[in-house]
Amino acid sequence: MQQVSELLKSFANRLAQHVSSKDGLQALRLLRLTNLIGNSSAKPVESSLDDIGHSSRKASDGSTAAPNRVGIWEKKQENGETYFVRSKDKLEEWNYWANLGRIEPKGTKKRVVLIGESVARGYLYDPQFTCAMALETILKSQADGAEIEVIDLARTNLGLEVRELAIDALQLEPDAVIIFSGNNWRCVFPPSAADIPKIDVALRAQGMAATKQYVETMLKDEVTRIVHDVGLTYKERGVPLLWIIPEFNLGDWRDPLTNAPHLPAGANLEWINLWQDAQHAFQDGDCETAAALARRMVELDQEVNVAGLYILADCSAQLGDMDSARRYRELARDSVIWDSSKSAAPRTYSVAQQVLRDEAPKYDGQILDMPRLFKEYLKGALPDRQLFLDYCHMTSEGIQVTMAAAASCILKQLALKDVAWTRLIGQAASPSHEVEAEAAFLAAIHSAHWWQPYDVIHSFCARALQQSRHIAKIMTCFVDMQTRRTPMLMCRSAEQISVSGSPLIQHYLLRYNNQQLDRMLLDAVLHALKDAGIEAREQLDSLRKTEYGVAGRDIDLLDYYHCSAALQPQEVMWVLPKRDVFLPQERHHYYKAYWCESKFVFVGEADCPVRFQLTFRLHYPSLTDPKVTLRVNAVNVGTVEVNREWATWNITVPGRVLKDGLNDIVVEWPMPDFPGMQGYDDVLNDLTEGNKPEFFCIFGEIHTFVVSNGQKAVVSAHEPHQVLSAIGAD
Amino acid sequence: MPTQKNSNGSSQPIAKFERLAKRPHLNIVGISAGYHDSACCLLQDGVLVAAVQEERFTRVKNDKSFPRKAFRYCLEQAGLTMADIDCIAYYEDPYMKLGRQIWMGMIPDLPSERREGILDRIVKSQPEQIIRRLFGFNGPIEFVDHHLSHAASSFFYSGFDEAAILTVDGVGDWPTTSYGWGKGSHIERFEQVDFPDSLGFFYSAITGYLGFEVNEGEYKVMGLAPYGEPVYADQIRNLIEVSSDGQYRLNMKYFAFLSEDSMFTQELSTLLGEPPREPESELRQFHMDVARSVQAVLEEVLLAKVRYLHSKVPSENLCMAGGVALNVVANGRCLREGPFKRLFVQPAAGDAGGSVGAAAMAHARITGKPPYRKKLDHVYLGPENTSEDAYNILSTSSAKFQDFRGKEEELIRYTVDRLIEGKVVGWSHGRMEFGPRSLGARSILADPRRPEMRDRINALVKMRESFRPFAPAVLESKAHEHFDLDHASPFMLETCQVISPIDLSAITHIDGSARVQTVTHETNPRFARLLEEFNRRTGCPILLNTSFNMRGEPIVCTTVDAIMCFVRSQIDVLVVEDFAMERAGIPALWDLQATEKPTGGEAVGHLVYTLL
Repeated sequence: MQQVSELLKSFANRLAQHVSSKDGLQALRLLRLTNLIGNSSAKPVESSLDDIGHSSRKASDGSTAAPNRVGIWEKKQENGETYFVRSKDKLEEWNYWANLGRIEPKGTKKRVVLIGESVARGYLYDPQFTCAMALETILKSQADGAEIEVIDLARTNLGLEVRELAIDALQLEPDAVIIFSGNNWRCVFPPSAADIPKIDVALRAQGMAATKQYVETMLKDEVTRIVHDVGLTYKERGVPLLWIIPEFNLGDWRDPLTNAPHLPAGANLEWINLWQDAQHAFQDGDCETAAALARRMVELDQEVNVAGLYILADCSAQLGDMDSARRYRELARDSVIWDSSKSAAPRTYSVAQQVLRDEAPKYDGQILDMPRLFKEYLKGALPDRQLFLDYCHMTSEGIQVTMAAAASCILKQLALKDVAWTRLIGQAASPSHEVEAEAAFLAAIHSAHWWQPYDVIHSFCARALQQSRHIAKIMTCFVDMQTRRTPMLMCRSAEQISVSGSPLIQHYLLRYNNQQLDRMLLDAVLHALKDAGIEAREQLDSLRKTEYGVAGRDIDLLDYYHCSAALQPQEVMWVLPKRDVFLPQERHHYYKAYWCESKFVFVGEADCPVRFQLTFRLHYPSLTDPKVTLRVNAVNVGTVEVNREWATWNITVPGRVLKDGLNDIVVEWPMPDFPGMQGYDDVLNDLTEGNKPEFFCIFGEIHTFVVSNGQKAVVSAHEPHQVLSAIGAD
Repeated sequence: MPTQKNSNGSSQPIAKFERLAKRPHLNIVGISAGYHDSACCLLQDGVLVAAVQEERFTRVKNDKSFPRKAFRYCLEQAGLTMADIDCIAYYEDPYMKLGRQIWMGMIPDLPSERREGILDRIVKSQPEQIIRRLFGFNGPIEFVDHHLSHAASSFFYSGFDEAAILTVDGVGDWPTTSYGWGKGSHIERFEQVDFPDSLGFFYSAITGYLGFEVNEGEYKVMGLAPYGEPVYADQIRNLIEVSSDGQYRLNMKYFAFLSEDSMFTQELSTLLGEPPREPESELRQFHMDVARSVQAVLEEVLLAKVRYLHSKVPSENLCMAGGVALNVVANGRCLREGPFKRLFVQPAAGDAGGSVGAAAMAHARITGKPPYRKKLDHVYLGPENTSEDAYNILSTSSAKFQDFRGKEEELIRYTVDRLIEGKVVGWSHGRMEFGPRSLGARSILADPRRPEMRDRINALVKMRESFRPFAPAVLESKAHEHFDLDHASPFMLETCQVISPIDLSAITHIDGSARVQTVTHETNPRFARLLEEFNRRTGCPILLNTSFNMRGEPIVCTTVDAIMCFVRSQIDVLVVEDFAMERAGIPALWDLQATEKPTGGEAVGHLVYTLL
């Protein structure tokens, strides 16, 4: 390779000086987006989806991704027959799939392959009870002597790579295949770098709705490609294919309420006022006013926020208009598709559902439309906790209904029988009471960790105890484990769970759980235990005091354990213990407030004063008086001036305001001067720099928030020369 | 004053609000990030009060991401808040680096992926934007170019009033080697060698050729060298053309890093007559000879450059820094055979130490004075764990452990008993060391008199190559009786011959040398007492001391890290703060906790140096 001349070094340095100005670098970034220099085409701004095998830009040639492999199973030959065994290279993934060591050669049995994601796994019942089990029992009950087997290829977290899996699955020589997928079909925003110029124009013309439309278009294209590639391949091979269109827990599931993103000048303030008025009107029973105000909210936010849509849904439900209530809930479900500011529960989106309806039949694929199925089964009512354990994972009843309908389709496709699904529900396998209890308890935890309302959480806790009292011991161990400062798996209570818990409990509680204060969840658990005659409140209070009591130690209110209790999901993104791989990494390492109130919780004692050390500032100039108000347990304890420079305050709150156990402190920010269109400029600047965009107004920022025992003397920071281990101390 | 109306309408105060004035000290945070071993430090009125690598928090080895957790630690350690930070110093000149990146992109026939990668880096957020966004800092940022940061990290902590300064590494912004001098608060450089000519890359290329990880395996090559003969030295001299002044040039025919994800080309294999070694494959005499040869050539070049430097800066004192300065064997030869009488090497000589140098330079620029005068005598600058936390963790589990709170002498006797029995002890106490070496705060300890100890710890505990030697920690007062050493060596940065009447095969390298750490009460009292007790019982004031980590992992930081490393390895006994436990006391479920993988952080590549 030819050496680049030494002389060119000075040229490069000179160019660097020009480029390195703020405008110079920005010009270079924008120029790159035009492809005049470099090639930004099809390059994701942040490429994290490869972490879990989600790749959204593969060639549509129908080729198998791995010709000697199906999922984690690799092809083997023995005595001229082909079978598959689990690959040790994929050991880390085994837990996501069925516990199936070997897939035998295709014999005389009719082979039905079930492909899908966690819903298809029977998440929260798996491995004790799965969709595949339910399906197989139904099919066998109707087979009239024909042997049928169901091969379970469902994988938790399966996303768009269902395409490759479905094509690879043909190596198993199936007689029919079911694809039960769609809740993990996501296309993230920020977009590919090549699309940023289009986003720039669309955002300025249409506002935040442009981002939603962009992502919906991407998703539509992806799903269309999947259906085409898979459908065509299956049609050519003559293998019957059934697509199950997923449904969502429209009745119970609530995405957390957040502020509207950047809106044109003046609109954000109007939106907030409308929201407050609409909530008051609804609480007063005035649905007409509430709905009118909510309609105006939705008009302003262009259906990119759930708040107004939920009010409209609730008003419709109150007025008995369930079709409208359903429609608004679906719009609310769809409204988060673009929002990368927080983790969103997996779900199926309308755009993906419609592609399946429209496209699958073009390749002779059959459709099982779960939304229509559940509507029929529930006689028009919205699907809720009766059929769902959470956002999309089903109860045993939901699984039985869905698999009954799937079985009905498959039996027809295999020309074995024509029987209505309603007659098949009773033929499905059922989990034991113990398994039901465990699934319900796990559902309570899962719902709580996705910020669901108390009544849902409590309802699952109560259901768990009704199903089987054995769950009470697991619950008390869980309460203990969550309240310890010791890492979860090192606690004695975790050991007790590992010894006494079923594989189901161990799988979820000891692998996927995060320790957090869990205020609402633990309250619900204790409430349910109390109703069952088991008193555990005192134990929890005492443990909380020992482990996290402010009287004994300084507490960082910004750590995940405490921050998560505020139920403000945008605010905790920077301290998540495990990064959401669908979202770009946070670029800031301090707390940002996306609402006018920042809520925190700590463990205090009655009559024991506390001292807060708070370092904070505003992000935008203030529209109103630049003052921050602090409220402890709903008592206004004071107001301080704040500006856009970091300032540190010591705030000593007298003991009479405190109570034993959990105490609330709210930081109330002044209303900012909302940036309006400047907010869109900032979003685009972030995108061109390859950073996670800030779609929402920041009300304030907190760098430090520590609470300590107010009776302790204030320890001044050490003089540097007094620090025991300081270097250079003479 | 905020008030609340009481029942009869009169007001009374509720909370007391006190705005804290900014702390009176000059608080400077130093940051290094982007290549490998990102780190953060804090200088308060020129006093270094905290320093730590980000990898210790994220548990990602050589983590190169911006040190967000290390930053918070530094503030907490000093009781500061964001409002107290006067300046952030960054260890690189991003604009100089930008020039180098642009130049790299101008190479003809560069693969398009490479060019795209370079352009990606150029258009990404620059360090200033990252610092402001990540930390929320609006104050002044001082950029200190990379080699100046290295130079400052060494000179300002050497205790020398004046010295010659040599910095040598892979690359920073443009320079890869710099020659200068320091006096008072002033550092001046008069010559440099620029990228792509780099002694660091020269050594890293052979490291990669020998099947070790670039950025990480260089000191393995150093350790392997004594097993070989310099039979390939002539061939290896073809890789580098050395002139009589401070300059040298790499023969780019043998180096591929400008255009490929590899350090070396096929030509190197042709030159040496064998293909590159597959990682983890058997090491043969050929590989040992190549290691010896590259070590010999490196030493030659360094010695020549040290002599050159002395010709320009005829001081008695030499300061060294930069990744190549971690080659303690070469340093030792430079001191023995070179013209300088005294040598100081920054213990965190690599990029982590650049954070300290940057902060020190910022201090000098702002105040006109050097940061401090006293020679660095320890590097216990990282976080400490409390006995209370350790007790809380252990007592919440079903682990069986012994509690020695308030009974340090008993703890020490217990530990010495275990060591004499031939047990391997994981030892975690006090503030963590800053830099790549464990110096008795986060160490694995063993009886150095037992010959089998080296193989045992290599194979079962650290799971690393069998040729890797272990280093000794020795009471400073006794060091001269066992090592050819007449001065303090607190950082394991020099090698010397073992002259002990005791058979110390576990810590004696094949060439009779050892890389010694001398220990005193003043810097690490508990560790010193442990050595004293071991000496009292055995007549040997030395312990085998290696870093408390397993292969591929950062050194442990917290009590939980120490426990998890203990669980995963074959360490026999864990002594963490005032508690001890043995393997039989490990609860079964801890194995599951021990398999948790780190999240976050940015790992470095191991095929090629991080250039961008």
